[in-house]
Amino acid sequence: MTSVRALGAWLTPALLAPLALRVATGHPEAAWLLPAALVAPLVALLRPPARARRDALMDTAAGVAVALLVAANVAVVADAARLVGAARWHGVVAAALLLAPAGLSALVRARAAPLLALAVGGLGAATLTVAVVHGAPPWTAWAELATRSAVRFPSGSPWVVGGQRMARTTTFTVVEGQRVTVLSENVYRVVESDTVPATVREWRLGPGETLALRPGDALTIPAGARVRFDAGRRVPGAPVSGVVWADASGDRAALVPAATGALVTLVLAALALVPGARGGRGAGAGPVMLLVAVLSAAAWGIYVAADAPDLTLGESPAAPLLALGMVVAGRAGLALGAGVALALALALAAGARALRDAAALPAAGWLAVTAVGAVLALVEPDAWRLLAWGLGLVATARAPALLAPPRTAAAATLDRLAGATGLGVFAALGLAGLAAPEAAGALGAWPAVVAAPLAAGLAALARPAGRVAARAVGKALRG
Amino acid sequence: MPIARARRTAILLLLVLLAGVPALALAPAVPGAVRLAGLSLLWWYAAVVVPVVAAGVAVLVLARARA
Repeated sequence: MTSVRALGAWLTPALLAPLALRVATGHPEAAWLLPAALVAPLVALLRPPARARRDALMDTAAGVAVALLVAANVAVVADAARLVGAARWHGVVAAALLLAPAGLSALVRARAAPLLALAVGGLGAATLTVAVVHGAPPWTAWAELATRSAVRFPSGSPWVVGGQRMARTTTFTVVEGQRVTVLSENVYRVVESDTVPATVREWRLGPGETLALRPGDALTIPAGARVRFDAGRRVPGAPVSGVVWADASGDRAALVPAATGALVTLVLAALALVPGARGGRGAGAGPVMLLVAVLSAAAWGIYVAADAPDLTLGESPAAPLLALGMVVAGRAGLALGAGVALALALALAAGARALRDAAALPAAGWLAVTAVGAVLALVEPDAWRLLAWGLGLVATARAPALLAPPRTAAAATLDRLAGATGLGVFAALGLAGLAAPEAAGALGAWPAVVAAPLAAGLAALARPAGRVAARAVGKALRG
Repeated sequence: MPIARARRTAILLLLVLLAGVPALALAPAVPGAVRLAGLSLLWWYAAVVVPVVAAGVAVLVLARARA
């Protein structure tokens, strides 16, 4: 397989859009995720090309993982639909109508590499345009932003001029007095933490009514509600200053488990989704495309943080990518937003075929996976969470296949048992993360960090070399 | 160098490069927070050095490989 086509399942909107959002919001993991999103698929590309091993149980698990990855992409499109005033389900249907035929099309399969090249070229060109309009390269924009004393609503922000709709239910704590004007009838919830225990108030407010928030108050705005903020105030939920944005390391010790989980999951998932590439002339195009795509996402996030921090309000991964053009270039920016949307649609089409191939799905299986993914995107709107689950599950399902093929029937059975154990651990940790996210911590958010190495380790015991290594480790521990 | 060995060496180099990110972020005295030409050392490393070097290594190895 060529190096460009091999990247189809990786360079999808579900990875690029949340990556740009995480940079824009100064997320502590951003500086770890950027290099991991690039290095992980490069490691996979550099493996010698090999025929994928098939196993019914692991293929089924990979199919579920692909459904989660489809859902992550559909969730990004659903968020984009909200931005243009449509309902989420409109975006879900539009994404499904693109993904289903793209995954079945022989033409898309044959033209996957040029499609992906066009998508990445479009993203790169759009980023260059933003850099020209902004008037400074990303590193200068980063340095300027890093000295800002506060991250405030720009005077022309749509959130302060005409008000905007929240793409999803959003809760944020304000750090200074803030007045929120309600523009659509909904129930708004405020938690006042200046008393013990905290006071929870809920109001049904109509258009024109206002909420006066004090520092420390946490406001929950339901999905679809339209609100307006006061100009010149701090952007709720954004870092309080440029200095905080730039040095967003947070509690460094607490960051280690989550960042390790992200790195391990990304590398193992890339080994499952990106096949080893053929070498020779033109093989360097894949790594160059990867570089352009990841650096474009990073630069885009920096420009959003510098020029339009309010786009991160509501944590919609589509907003930074699609709306930045309008902010920096006015009406001319519409074309930029449309160009980015087209580039993402091309990447999605190329990714559909690659995802189908990654799970070896028949045509009916692909249609079922697309339908399940669409429903999942309606139930869970967080594209990043869906992506983390999908990448983790595919990494766990394919972990035993990273080893040399088993030589005996007994070894093959042990392989399957190892894979099933890994999947069981993945499900248990994932469910714990859903039920008690605080208690489960990084293991709940990135269950593959334990499940995938466990599956690979148990499968290694089915091989002579693995047993020798296990005996050596046991001997060393005993004496 | 045989191409299989070149691929393995490149993979190892890439993983070492990636491991440098947590090392820089978590090292005592926080060297990653030091500013160099306005940009923090962590961001120079994570968003400039690692991507450019990793992609360069991969291009060189894949372009040399015949299989």
